[in-house]
Amino acid sequence: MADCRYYLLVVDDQAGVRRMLQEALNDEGYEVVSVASGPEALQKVKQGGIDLVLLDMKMPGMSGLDVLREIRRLNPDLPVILMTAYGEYELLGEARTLGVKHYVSKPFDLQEVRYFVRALLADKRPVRSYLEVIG
Amino acid sequence: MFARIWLPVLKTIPLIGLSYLIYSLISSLSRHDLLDISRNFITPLGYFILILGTIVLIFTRYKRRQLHRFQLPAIAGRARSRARQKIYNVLDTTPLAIMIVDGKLNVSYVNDAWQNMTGYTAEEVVGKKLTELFKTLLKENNTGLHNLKDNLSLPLYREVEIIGKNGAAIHAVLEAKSLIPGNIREGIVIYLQDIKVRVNYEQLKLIFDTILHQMVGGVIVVDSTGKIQIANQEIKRLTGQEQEDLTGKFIWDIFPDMDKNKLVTMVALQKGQAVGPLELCYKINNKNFHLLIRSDVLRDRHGRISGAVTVIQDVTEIHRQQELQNNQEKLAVVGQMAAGMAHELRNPLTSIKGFAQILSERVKDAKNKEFLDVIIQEVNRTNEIISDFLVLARPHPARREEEVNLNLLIHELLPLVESQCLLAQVKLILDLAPELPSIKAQPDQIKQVLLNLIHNALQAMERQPVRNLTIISRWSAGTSEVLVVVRDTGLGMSDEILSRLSTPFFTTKNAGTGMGLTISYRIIENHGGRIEVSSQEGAGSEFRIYLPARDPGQIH
Repeated sequence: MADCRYYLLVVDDQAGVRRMLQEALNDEGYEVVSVASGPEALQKVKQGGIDLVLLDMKMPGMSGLDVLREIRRLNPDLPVILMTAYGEYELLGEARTLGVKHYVSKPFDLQEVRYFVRALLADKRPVRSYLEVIG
Repeated sequence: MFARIWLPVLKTIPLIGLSYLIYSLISSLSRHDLLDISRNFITPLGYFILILGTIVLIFTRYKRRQLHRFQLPAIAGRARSRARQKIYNVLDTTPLAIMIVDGKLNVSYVNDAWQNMTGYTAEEVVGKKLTELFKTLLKENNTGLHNLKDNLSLPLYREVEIIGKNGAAIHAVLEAKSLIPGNIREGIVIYLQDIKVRVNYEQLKLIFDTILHQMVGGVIVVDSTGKIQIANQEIKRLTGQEQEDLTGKFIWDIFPDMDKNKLVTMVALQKGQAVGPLELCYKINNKNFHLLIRSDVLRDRHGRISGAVTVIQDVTEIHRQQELQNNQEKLAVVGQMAAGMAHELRNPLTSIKGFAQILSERVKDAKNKEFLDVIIQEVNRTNEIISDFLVLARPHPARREEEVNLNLLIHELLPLVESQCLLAQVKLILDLAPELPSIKAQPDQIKQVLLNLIHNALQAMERQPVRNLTIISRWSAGTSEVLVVVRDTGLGMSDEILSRLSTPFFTTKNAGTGMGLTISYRIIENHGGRIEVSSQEGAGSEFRIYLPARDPGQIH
């Protein structure tokens, strides 16, 4: 049976933020997969079945922008929302060239996140349902 | 007058007396009348004339001697020659080459300096005719000295070329004067001065003056009482007084606010030794100066203190720059800390706020819901404080200014602005000039100002029915300013609020620190620009940022 839920990937090194987003988005009916680092995130993207990524800009090791570049290489159309903590403006310009137009500044309103998620997924079918059909 | 007219007349008197006696004698002898002879000899008139004539003769000889001896007192031969020797001894010790010529233009004396200069000894030249000597001594006889009988030719001043005994040419200044002014027949004194010595001295003075006035530091020379003798250009700049006004004044007149005895110059004079360099804060003409001062005493040949020389370096600007740099370094450190801290604090705040929102959505109890909303508001307030602190700390002064095109800068901000507008359901209207000259700025700071203004605009429109945010950039050819306008259709501001906009900690927001606009104003001022505001209550506000164009001719 086709999986009709959207799978969101939350990438943030802060456990509290991950847990909170999971709870908030679950309430909206999304499935949330959360990881704490860039490499883990890329693995998940490679595996497929992700409809949208919520990506923190500043993480130890691989930065959000590095992760974004890799994601674009793997999947140019995957919707991404960036989470910034102190307005890395110089990075936002580059992110825009990578096709990312949506940002939320920490500490964000949940409505803000939900609004962007809804907007980005509005005209899309869940990837997994699509995979199921092909499969 | 006396010597020239009356002396010859007087001299004839004894001759007249004598001739009268001789005539009487001869006439008596021719008549062989001895009685007549004796009678004639004792003629009182003849004796009277004879005695008178002798007195006059003695007097005139005395007078002549006096003139010949350079006005020496009439003294007997030995004493006179001793006095002359004394004068010659004195002349021999002077560095100036001196030659004395008598009324007949014969050389009567040359001093040691003259002999050293020309190479000729006194024996070789004394007694020689001056005109003959000059034929061998002077390269060209153009001195006018060959015709010295004319009194009008003296005093004389010439640059001449002297050929020394060894054949070497010496460029010298020749000066000739009558020993008795107006009477050339009483002798002439001729001075020679090697022009090299003269030029060296003049050149040295020129070099000294140039160094004195061109040097970066101020120089004041005072005498032992503290009276200013020399003050250079820099002192003039510091004090705002002309050099002529400074010389003759006392050193404490320049620094009227200072204790006279504590002035470095005066301390050096009192101690008799060098003082400093000391960095001191002096007040001159009501302006504060940071001066690096060093003073040392001047001594005469006998080691007595004759004055002091004080060198003053104005380090006010260096001091200011250092302070600025220190502040900038501090700010840079604070900025880095703030950025790190902001990140570290905003992450937990995100969790707190998020969970509070989740709970607030889930709880049914109105009171609990209210408490949770308080948590959310407090988190927002905390975040505002962090934001303002970031703005304060973020201007990275250590960073160099770059060439910035404001249109590009606005475009870089668009992702963030568009997101915020989308969320706040605000219509974003961009009206950017097709061409803008670049400005010299720190782009992060300008972004910070624009974001701050946009943030304020969005907040002002929260409860407004029409929500339009307009961003305009403008530049008209020939003007030296680039203009960016941030206009909203928000609540607007009263005149009272408008007048207090840039006041630190003034805020109309519940959760604001009142630093945002203060910092924005300061950033723009630091860039040489200005912010103008106009507002209408209920209709909206407009912030206009003017920034100086780097080169109005260059458009990007």
